Amino acid sequence: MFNRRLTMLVLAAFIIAATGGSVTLVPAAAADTTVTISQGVDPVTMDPLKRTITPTTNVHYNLFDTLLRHDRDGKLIPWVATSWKRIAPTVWEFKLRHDVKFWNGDPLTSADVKFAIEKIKDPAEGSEQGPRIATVDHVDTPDAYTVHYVTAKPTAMIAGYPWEVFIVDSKYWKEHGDAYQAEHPMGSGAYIFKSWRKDESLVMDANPGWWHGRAPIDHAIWKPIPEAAARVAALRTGETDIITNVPAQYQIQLSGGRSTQLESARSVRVLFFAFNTLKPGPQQNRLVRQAFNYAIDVPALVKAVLGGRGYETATPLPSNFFGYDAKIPFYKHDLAKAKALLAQAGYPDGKGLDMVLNAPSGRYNKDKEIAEAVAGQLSQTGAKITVKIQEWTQYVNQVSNRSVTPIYELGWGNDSYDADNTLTSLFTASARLSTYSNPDLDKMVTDARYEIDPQRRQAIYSKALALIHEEAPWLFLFEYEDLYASTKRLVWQARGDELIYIDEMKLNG
Amino acid sequence: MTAYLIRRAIGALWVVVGVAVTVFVILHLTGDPAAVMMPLESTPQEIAQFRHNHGFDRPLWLQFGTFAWSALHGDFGDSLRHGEPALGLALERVPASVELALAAISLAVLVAIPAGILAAVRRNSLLDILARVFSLIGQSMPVYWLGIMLILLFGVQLGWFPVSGIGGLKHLVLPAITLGLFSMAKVMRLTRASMLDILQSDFLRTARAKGVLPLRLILHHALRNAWLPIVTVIGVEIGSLISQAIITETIFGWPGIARLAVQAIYDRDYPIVEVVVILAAVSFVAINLLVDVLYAALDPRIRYE
Amino acid sequence: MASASIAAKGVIDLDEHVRRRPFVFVLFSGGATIVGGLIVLAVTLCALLAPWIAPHDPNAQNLAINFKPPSWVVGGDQAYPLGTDNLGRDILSRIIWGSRVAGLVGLSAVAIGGIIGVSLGIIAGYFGGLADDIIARVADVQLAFPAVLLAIAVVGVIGPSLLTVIATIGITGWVQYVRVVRAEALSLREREFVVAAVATGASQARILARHILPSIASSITVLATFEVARAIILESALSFLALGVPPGVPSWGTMLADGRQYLDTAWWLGLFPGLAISFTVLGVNLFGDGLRDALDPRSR
Repeated sequence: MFNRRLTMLVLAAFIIAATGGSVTLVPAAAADTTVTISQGVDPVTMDPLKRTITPTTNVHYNLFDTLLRHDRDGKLIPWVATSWKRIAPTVWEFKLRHDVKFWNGDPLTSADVKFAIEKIKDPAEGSEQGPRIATVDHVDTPDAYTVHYVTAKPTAMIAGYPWEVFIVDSKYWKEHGDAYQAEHPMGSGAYIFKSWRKDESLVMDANPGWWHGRAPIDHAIWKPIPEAAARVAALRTGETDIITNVPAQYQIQLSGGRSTQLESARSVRVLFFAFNTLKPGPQQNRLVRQAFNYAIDVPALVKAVLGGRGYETATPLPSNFFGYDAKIPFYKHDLAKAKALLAQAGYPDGKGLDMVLNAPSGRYNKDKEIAEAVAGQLSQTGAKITVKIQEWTQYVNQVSNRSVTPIYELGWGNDSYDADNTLTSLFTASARLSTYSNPDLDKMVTDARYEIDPQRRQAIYSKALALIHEEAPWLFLFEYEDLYASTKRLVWQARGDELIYIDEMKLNG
Repeated sequence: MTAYLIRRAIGALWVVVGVAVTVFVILHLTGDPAAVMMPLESTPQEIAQFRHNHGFDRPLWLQFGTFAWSALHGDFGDSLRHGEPALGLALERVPASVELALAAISLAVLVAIPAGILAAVRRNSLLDILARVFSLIGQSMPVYWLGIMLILLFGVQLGWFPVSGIGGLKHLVLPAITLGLFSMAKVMRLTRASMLDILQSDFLRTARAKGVLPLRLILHHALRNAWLPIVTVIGVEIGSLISQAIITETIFGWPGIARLAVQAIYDRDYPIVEVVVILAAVSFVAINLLVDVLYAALDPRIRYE
Repeated sequence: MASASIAAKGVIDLDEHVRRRPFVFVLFSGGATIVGGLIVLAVTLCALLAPWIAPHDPNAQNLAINFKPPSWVVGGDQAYPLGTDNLGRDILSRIIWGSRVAGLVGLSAVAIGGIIGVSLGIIAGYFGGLADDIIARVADVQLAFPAVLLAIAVVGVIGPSLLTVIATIGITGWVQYVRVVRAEALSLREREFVVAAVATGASQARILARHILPSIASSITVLATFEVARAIILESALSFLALGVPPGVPSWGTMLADGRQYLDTAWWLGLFPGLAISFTVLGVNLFGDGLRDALDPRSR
């Protein structure tokens, strides 16, 4: 940086001298702007077609382009694809821009999109992104700038999120092979990959030829800091500019800090406890499930454990998802009603109820504390509740084979902004994660997935949500509010889908 | 002597094999990485596919056989999380951990030993009491606590040192103190105790009675006798450094192998856990072997048959 | 002598015990030992009398009054002298009750480790041969193996519980005993009185019971006191990894692990259990030091 400045000055002096001082002084190059971002973990790979975890994909979102993008409110906006429409019952057509180039100059064409989708679909690749394009049967490319997603059955656009696939340079990939991509990505995105020292720092430079226009910030450094307290400390000392996953107890310190500001975004992640209704026990009784819902005081829980950073939910869906219905009533805290329902179910004063509440530790924000607090609240009905905490690996194994019972904690978030993913994965009988089975609900979900008319679709979802509310297969708790913090010199707003686009940032003043 | 070393080396080899078998068995019996690695909403077919891609659906003895065979050729498989060769990933991180460990050991040796000697020589003086208090506190303070306190005090409040990451000497200070304090305290206590023993021995008591007590004599005689337990402890401490390094590297975001190992254990990333544990076992036995050789070299009275 | 393995580096003095002054007198002649002893006594009393001296139910949650600072700080409450934790539970009561887990974990882990370690050490040292080799190998493997993985293995098999924690700590602790006991047993085997006993036809068991065990008793005792300290610290480390004592049983280790995220915002959650651990460990170490000095003939 210093050398560049000097060079520019010398050059300027030279020019002035050469032109006899009649040219205005060439201004010295503005100082290079760099933003440092600290997430809790390092990205795992630079191969963008394999993983779905946010800290990794966040980096990819800045290196690669996608067909479309979500704006902050969750609305789809044109991106590399300028238009999208269904031209036949099972064909969605995307028209691509003509001016998108990869960093090495290769033009981005429909062949690249097709290549990416096929890589994800290939079982030998072991990509986690399969569910995102599950509705796409195959891709046709009628010409270099037109992409056809051909679906197995007529599908509403929003189901799944096949437009979020990262577009890679198929020519480069074929030349260099799979393993090379993991460390040497070739993208067309706002930032060019420069270097990566694992667990230390990943550096990227602004792409001057980006089709959207060069991003304001010159360089970005991704520096992972696993420990929350250390992350906060690093922000306060100025060693980093943005930190993610800020625990609620730092909110006062950071929002009132000299050089720091707090950012928050309503998350798409919902935390809940599920009842394993497939296993024998009192949880199979709907009255017991409803009673427990009345026993929980969610606002008090959110205030005490999350510092107020959460939104009570009445349904499994975040409020900005398609399918959400604001008219579904909340299970407001009512201990008397809870006890009455329990008595009705045959457990007066909770006598005879001895249940285990299962929870992981360190997987979701404050998961263990929430479990303890929920257990405490449930105990007030007189039932005996024991909390069992396990580390994530053991826990997820039991969740996966549906052996964890009778009550267990889970978090769910996806950035599809659509009800289908949540309802299918968590409530339908065939889903690996669902411990609830109701053929009526299954039918509603399937019907809605293939219903094209948005209004009829919403109507089906409203009915489904009402059914879920009545049946109470969950203890409905809350949506998280994600906390981020940044240095005051940065102008940036956090997003609910946890994505960090550096091209959305700029420096103050 | 050579015969002894060869026997020891063979014994060490058996230890490494034992460790490899144990870690393999433990990993494969306590949790399925497929469920952990794949996103929650994966279908059973996708999970089965994952298991098949990585050979987890084969019988255990076959898996171990393949693993052992490739391991002998330096191939520990690809990390489930990163998709890259596990050995390479682990070795990449070793220099950072070694740097930190060396810094911590240096603190222990360069600070604790002289301090322990001084404390013994000036017994019951203020220095001695301070040293004893320091060593007792150092041995009972939780590493995590120490790390965070150092970050808050010297990093945030005073701004003397950076709080995270690897870099120049400045980045090394806080993590090295955090990692090394426990060992420092232990070594100091031991040095002091050994020195006290020596100082009270007949030889030195006679010397003192004769009025002759040059510092040089003390150091020369004392150290020659005291180094044995000290070197022993240092050897053992290096072993315990690994588990303490886990916490230290995590707090300070230090890109070392302990941090990699923790993440791998959490994820059940088999290849990485296996490679790290085996590497750790190898270095552990190597260091102990080295310590034994050092014994023999430094003290002619010790002979191994 | 069997091949000197890593496990055989005992550093305990092997001289015979020559009684000059009454043991107890020597033990408490050092101020430090007295302090140590008092601390241990205090913790023991806490553990025994917990239900009567704790002001509140340690598990009673009250979300409305969470994060209350200690009573002497602004915002504190006399009813909760050390403040409340993130779920509104009284910290003082939890510390008092936590001494039970500390004592239980310390004692039983030491007992398990001790019984296993001493038995194996005697077998290895006294009988030698193949048994010695095998035991030494297993000890080496375990020493070279990270304790974390062992803990995960135990939890994976038994499931998380207080019992699991005790088992884990016990399993990681036996190696220390083997080293020391083996060395002593080995040397004692050659002593005149043992040789004489063998010559007169005494049975193995009798020799062990009447000659070997009493001689190693002092070393074991000293070792045990240090093992108690190690057990308490290890329990805390396990809690950090979600492998510790389940919630519902207040333990200093879990309190410390839970309180770690609040170190710079609600410092009292982590400080007091940390102090409790540190003081107890300190006390046990001081007492152990004094015990060792008192038993060591050269200091008398």
